[in-house]
Amino acid sequence: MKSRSKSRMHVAVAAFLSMLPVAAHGQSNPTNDNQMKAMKVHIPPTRWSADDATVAHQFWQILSKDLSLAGPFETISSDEGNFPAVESDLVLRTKVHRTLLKPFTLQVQVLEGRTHKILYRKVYEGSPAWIRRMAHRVADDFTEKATGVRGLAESRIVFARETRKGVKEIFQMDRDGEGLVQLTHYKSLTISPSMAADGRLAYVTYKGGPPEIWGQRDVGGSHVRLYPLDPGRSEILLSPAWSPDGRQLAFAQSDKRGHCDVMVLDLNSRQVHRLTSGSGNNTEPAWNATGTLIAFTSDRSGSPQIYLMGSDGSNPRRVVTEGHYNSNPALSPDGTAVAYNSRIDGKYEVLVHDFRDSSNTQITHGEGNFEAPAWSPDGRWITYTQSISGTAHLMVSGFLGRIVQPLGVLAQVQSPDWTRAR
Amino acid sequence: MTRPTITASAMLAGAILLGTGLACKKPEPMQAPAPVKQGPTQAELDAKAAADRKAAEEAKRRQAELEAAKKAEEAKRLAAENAAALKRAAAEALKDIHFDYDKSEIKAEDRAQLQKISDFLKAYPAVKVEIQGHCDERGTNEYNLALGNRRASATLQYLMALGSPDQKFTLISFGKEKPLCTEGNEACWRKNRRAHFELK
Repeated sequence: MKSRSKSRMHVAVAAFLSMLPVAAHGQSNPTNDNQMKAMKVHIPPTRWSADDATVAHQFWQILSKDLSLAGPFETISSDEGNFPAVESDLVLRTKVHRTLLKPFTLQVQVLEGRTHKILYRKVYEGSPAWIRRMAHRVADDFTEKATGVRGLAESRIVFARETRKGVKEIFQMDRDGEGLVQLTHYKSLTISPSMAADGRLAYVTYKGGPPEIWGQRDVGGSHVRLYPLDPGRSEILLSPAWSPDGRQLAFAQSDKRGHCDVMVLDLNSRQVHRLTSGSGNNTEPAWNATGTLIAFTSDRSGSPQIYLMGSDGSNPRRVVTEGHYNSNPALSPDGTAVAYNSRIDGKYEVLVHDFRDSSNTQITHGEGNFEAPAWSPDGRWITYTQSISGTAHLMVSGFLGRIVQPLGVLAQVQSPDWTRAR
Repeated sequence: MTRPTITASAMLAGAILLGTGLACKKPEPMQAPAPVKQGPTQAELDAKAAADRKAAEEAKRRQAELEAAKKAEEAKRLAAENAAALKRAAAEALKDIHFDYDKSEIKAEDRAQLQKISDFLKAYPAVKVEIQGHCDERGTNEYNLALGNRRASATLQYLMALGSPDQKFTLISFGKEKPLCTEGNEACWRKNRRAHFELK
């Protein structure tokens, strides 16, 4: 998929951005988006030429859903093509086009809502077979132009899912809950996926008996044992987490004495370092975006609590002081907050602790237990599981819980991780 | 007179002797054509003996084989009996023990059960046992894996204190990944907070 008319776009984009009613600028965690007001975007049905009516309709549906899920927009996807009658801030016009000599293209125009002045145009080359990816690309480009922050339609969520009793496998799906792909086929207990920035997967599998960390050494490569290096060992391994540069893998290792420590494996040198001291259970390591800090759960004080330490194990300190059961930390992409799981009145909820003012904000409300928070790559959303009567679904919550959406329709899912890597 | 008589006698005797000699040689061609009717040659005897030996050996071998098969059958039967006995004893002894919420301490009510397990391990010194730690559905997947390990470990420490060597055991934690019961109530959670034992 290539894009053209770049120089023309530059001029148009500047105008485009300056005309926006309210735009949420910059990488931010949800606390920055308090004043956000939805921008009205009209998305008339995609036009087509030749025999592309079906693919045009499919494209329009995917694009409309992407932008309705994006957060900053109130989308109007009318079946009527009479867009002049629709009141909106922006109009997103699209057309599927091909001729005998030209390849399959998508033509995109963004118009100012009142004046219908063209703000920018872009042409995407591709193929009907890639229509989902093309729609996601168009949606993310539009979101970036309109809000200053790239959209998430092209991102994907990896997670573990029970396929039958006692068997779990790793799956991925697009941010719109579609495009499900099964990534492992061990017919065994396989859990705890982590996705590196370059798209390499790591996870824990019990396929050989004791749990081992498997995944990809190379981008697109086959799945191999990453740890233990020596297959004879039988420590209990859990919670792999790629470092932001993808060179190291943090994980937790339990021993026969009942202790569990956070370890770091350097993939190239194959050296392993113990970061915690062998007191209590230390697990669930989570890196910050620059790779300098690791958050983790420790019950060294008697109950599980959220701690932070240098990625060399230095200066461990407790960061959330409220609550008797806090676990599963996830540091926000900008490092200003940590999402975590907390037991409140016997129920499990997802909270966000802001390091700047040490506030804790509960972002989940409602029936059941909420678990396993993971940030979106832009830091605006958190995905987690909601489990009601033993059935768990994926949810996403944006902007500190003001927007809550189901993420797909699959049941029996756990441990989501959200990545831009394809 | 005497002399010629002697001479004649001698001649006669000679003639007789000669005749006898001739007579002795004569039957030879008559005996030669009937060797089959009259008994085996040496070569045949040898062959027969060899065949007999072989048959005997074969029979002996068959007998040995039969005995070995019988022995193997018997050993198999014994092994199966032993295995069945072990299985029965294991089923009797290796029963789950349970834990309080977010705890890994051995409960007083499970001590008798652990003693049974210890006795079983002493009665069957060759067996190895996997201790599995499990949790209820509450709490995060990852933290529960660590908690499950701690439960398995507490169980191991207790069994070691009762005299079973460390080498008999492998530990594994399934956290809340393999619940016995999937309802969201305390009765169900209690079943899931367990150490489970598997023969290895």
